[in-house]
Amino acid sequence: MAKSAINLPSYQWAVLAGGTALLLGLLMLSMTTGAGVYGATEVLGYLQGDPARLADDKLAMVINTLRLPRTLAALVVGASLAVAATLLQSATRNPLAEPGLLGVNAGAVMGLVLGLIFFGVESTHGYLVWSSAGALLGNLVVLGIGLMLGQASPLKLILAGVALSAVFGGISNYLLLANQTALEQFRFWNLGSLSASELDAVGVVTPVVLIALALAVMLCRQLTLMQMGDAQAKALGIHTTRVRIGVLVASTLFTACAISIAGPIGFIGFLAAYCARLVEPVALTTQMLFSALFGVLFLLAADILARWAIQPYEMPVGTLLAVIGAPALVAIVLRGGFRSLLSVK
Amino acid sequence: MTMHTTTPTGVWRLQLGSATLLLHRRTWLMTLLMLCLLLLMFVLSVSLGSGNMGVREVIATLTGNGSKLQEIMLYKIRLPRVAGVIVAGLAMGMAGCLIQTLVRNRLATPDMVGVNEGASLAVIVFAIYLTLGAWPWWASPLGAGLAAAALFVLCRRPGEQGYLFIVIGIAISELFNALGEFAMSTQPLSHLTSIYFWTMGHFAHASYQAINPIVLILLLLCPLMAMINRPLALLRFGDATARSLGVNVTPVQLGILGLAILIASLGTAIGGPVVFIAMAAPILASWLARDNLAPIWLAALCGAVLLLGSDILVRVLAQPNEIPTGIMTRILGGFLLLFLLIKDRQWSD
Repeated sequence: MAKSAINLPSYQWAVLAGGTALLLGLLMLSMTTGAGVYGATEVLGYLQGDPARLADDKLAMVINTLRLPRTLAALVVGASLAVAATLLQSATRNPLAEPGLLGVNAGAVMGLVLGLIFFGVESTHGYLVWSSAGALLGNLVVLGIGLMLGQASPLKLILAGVALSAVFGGISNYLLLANQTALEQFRFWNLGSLSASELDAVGVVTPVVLIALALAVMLCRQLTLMQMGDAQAKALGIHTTRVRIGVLVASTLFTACAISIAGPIGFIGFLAAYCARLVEPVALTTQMLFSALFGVLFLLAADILARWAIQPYEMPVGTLLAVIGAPALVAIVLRGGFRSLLSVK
Repeated sequence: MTMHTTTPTGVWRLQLGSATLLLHRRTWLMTLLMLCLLLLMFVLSVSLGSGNMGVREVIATLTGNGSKLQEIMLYKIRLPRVAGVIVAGLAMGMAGCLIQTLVRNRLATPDMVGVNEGASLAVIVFAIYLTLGAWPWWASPLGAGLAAAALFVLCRRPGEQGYLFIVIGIAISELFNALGEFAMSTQPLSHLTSIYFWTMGHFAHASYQAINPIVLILLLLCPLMAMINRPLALLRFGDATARSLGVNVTPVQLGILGLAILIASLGTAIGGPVVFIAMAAPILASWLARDNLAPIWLAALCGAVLLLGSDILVRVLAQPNEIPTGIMTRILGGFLLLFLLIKDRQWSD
C-alpha cells in the first residue's frame, strides 16, 4: 500500500497537493461563512484557544452547533459516497454506478423512514442500523437485477435504479406524508442537506466509515485485478464472490452513514469517481484516494455555495448537486465516456 | 356472399350507404369495456370521501334529487377532483401513445424524459414569482417545450438511440426537478403546502378554473389527432417505408411531437407531474387490443382508468390522510418499469 503511494507519478502528486491546498482553503471558508456575524478572525481566534474568544458564548454556539458539525459532516459524507461509488463502479464495471443513481440511497432513506415511523427510532445509532438495512436491501435488489439482466449495459442499470428509486422513494414519501410531524422534521433532510448535522451524529458515524474504509482498502488489489475479467481473476487465485460480498458490505455501510447524517445526496459519488478515474485509470488504491479527496472537495464547495446562494434561505445541498450533476451526466454519457471502463478488459 | 369472404376475421363490417367501415372487433370491445370500467370507477370515486355520501346519495344528487348540501359537496368538492384525474389521465395516455410510437420506444414517455418535470417547473416558477393568486396552468407548455427542446438538441435521432435517449431524458428530468426544488426553497415552507403537494401529483385542489380551458383545448385538438392516427400507424414501419407510402415524414414527426408535448403539459398542469401513467397506458392498451400499436383513444381511456384507479386506491388506503396520487403511481409504476427491464433481454443498449 505504502509503496504504491510513494510511486505516484508527478502529475498525480501535483493533483494531490493542489487538492489538499484547496481542501484547507474550503475548510477555512466553511468555518467562517454562514449564519451569525462571525468572520475569519473570530473563528480562528476561537480555534487557537484565544481566551477572549473562548469566553464568547455566542461564538462558541455558532462554531460548535452550526459550522463545525456541518464541516465535519461534509468530510465524512463526501468521502463515504465517493469511495462507495468507486467501489461500485469497479465491482460492476459500470462507470455510471453510484449509490444515488442505482437507487441504493432511496433504499437507505426508506429503511430510515420505516424505523422512524414504525419503531420510533430517534438515535443516530438507530438511524444507522435502519438505513443500513435499507441500503442493503437496495444493493441486493440492484445486484439481483444486474444478475437477471445478464451482461447489463450501464444505461440499463441506471434505468433499473430509476425504477427502484421510484418504488423506495414512493413508499418513503407515502409514510412521511401520512405523519405530519415526521414530514416537517424530514422534508429538508429528504432533499439532502448538511444543515442539521450534529457533532454527536458525526462522532457515531465516523468509526463505521473508518471500518468500511479499511475494508475497501483491503479489497483494492483484488478489485483491480478483477477488472481484467472474472476468469482471469479466478486464475490468479482471487475469490471473486468473496470480494463482491466485501464490496456489498462496504458500500452499504458507506451509504448508510452518509444517509443518516445528510439524507440522500446524489451525483456526488458519480462525479468524484469519474474525476478520480481521469487522474488514475487503473490502480484502485490510488483511485480511491483521489475519489475521496474529490468527493470531500465537491461536497464542501457545494455546501458553502448552498449557504451563500439564496440568503437568507438555504438551499438543500442535494438539490444544488443535482443542478450541477445532471448536466455533467449528460455530457459524460454523450461523450461516450462510459465506455472507457468497459474497454479496460 | 363474395363480399363476406373479403372481410378479414375479427373485423366488423359497417355498411353506411356506399361507404364501408371496417371495425376491429377486439379493439372496439376493449374500448367499450374500458368505458364501462371508467364509468364504474367514476361513480365509486365520487362516492368516496369525508361526509356521509355513498353511492345511493351520489346517484340521487346526480339525477337532481339531492339536498342543497349534497349538491354543493358533489359539484364543488368531489367532482372537480375526479374530473381533474380523468382529464389528466386521458391526456397522459394520449401523449404517451404519441411519443412511444414516434420514437419507437416503450420507455420514452413524457414523464420519463423530463417533459412533465419541465412543465411542472414552469408552473412552479410562475406560481411563486409572477402570478397573483390564479393557478398558472397555462405556463406548463412553456416549460415542457423547453425540456423537449433541450432533449432533442442533445439527442438528434431519438428513434435510433434506445437507452441513451432515455438516460439523457432522466438527467434532464432530474435537473428540472432540482430547479423546481430550488425555486421552492427560496420561500418559507408554510406558503408552499399546496404547491409542494402538487409537485408530487395531487388532485385534491384541482379546480374548474384549470380543468375547463384544458378540456376545451383537448377537444379542439381532437380533429388533429384523428388526422394523425393514420400517418402515425405508418411511421412505425420506419421512416423510409412511411415515406414510400406517401407520408411527409419530417413535418408529420414534428407535428406529432409538438402535439404530444402540448398534451403532456396540459395533463401535468392539473394535478402535477404524475409519473408512469403515460408509460403504462399505451402498454396496457396494446395488451388489451393484442396489437403492438393500439389506437390513441384506447390508450387515452387506459390512462384515465389507471390514474383514477391509483387515485381511488390511495384514497382508500391512506384514509384519513391525504396522500398525493402521484406517489401511488410512482410505487406501482416503479414495479412496472422493473418488470419491463427484466423482460427486455434482447435490447441491451
